[in-house]
Amino acid sequence: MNLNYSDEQNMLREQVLKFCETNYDFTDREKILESEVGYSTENWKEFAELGWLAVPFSEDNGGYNFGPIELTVLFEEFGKSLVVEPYLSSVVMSGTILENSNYPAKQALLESIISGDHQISVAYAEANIGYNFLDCVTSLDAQGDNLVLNGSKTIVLNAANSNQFIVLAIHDGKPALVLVNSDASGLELQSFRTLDGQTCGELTFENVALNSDALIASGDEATALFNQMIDVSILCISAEAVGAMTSAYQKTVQYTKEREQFSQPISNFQVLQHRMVDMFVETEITKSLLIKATLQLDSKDAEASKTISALKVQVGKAGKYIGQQAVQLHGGMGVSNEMSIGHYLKRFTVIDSMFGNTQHHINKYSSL
Amino acid sequence: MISDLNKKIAEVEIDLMALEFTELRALAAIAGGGHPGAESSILKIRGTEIQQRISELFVEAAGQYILAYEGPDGFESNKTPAGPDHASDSVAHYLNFRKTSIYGGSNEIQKNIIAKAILGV
Repeated sequence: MNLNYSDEQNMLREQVLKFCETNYDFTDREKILESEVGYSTENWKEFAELGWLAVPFSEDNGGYNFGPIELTVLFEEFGKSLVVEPYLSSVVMSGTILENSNYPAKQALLESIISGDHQISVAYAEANIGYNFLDCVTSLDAQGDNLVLNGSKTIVLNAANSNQFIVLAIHDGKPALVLVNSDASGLELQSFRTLDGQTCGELTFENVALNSDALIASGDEATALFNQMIDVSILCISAEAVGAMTSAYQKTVQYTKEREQFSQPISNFQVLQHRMVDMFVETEITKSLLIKATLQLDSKDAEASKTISALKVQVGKAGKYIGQQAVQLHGGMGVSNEMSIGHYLKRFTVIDSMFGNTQHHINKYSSL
Repeated sequence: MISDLNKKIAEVEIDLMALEFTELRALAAIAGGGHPGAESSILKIRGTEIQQRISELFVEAAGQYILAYEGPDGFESNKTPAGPDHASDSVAHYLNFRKTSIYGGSNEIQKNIIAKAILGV
């Protein structure tokens, strides 16, 4: 079994690593989060110039024909530095839906995403349905030759910066995905920050009138596109988590070597050594499941969804453990906002809550 | 919602899947001309922990039938063990598998190896 990355994949990793080393130390990140849009528009432009926004798309749509493996390479490196640019919402989530759809306008939309000038977010979550996103109540009804959208969506990533939304709604009693402009009349946005400083919003739709050509997919096609998007998204945030785990344990090892107490570095104490070994082991174990899930998704293996649920369970448990222990071993410094380590714990907490938490995916894993 | 026992079975199954792929990663490293080094200590630690957890789940599933202990030499041939088949030797396995985290360099020694060789502390 060949588990080595190709030269091309290693080059991509090097490129992201170098970018983060130059542009993404902790103070850079803090400044980025203080800006109004919540990410760096300059970085986003550079992502576009470096071709990163084209990574998962086919050549027909202006992409590089890469797939899940390259996405996880990108996200693992993003995770190490806690990168906040809206890659997940625009490129991965909206991009995956559009790329795999039969939507006639998809090529132009993907090209605009790849250029970096246009952002699209998926509005999928709703109050009162937990993680069962397809059981939503937002409705898309026919009105003459046109469509009308009513309802609300919550936790829409990067909502305030998006030009358009792909909204999950019920149409003819079945799931549908529909494209809505952010300036559509009857659409209201309430924007807020996420636990880890990114931007997010709630959308309400009151009789939002749409042309029939706004419909991306409906029925079984919409369900398949949506589920595929969730699988790819889980894979990406899991890779991000593995990167963050790697940084969190390495920063902890570094800190305990420098921090002296009782006239010696605290890394001399076996109880701390074994704790850090446990953090390292959890990181490696998570990486193993990540690689397995990535290869299965890449080869369209029928077991991929089950492995992705297993991965999400492991990411949830390991992220919580590593995040908490990293803070504990940093002592009082671990709970200060001015040190990066607490921000890793925040990101692990956010990642666990997205696309189904640990408990949700244990149930899903058992049912598959 | 799944039962507590089913949840534990799902969790151990996931951990086993992850261990299996960690083993494959180590083998792929060897096949590529490398050597697994101290990473194989991960396999010893996690492998024995999973073995022990599975043996605990057998005991949990056997419930009160673990009281019918077969003794060190097994049940005498003319006696039928009480309870279902999976119950009869569950507790013997459970007790026997306590050794796995002790032998082959105890799991604490494995952690010392990783601490020194990989973490550099």
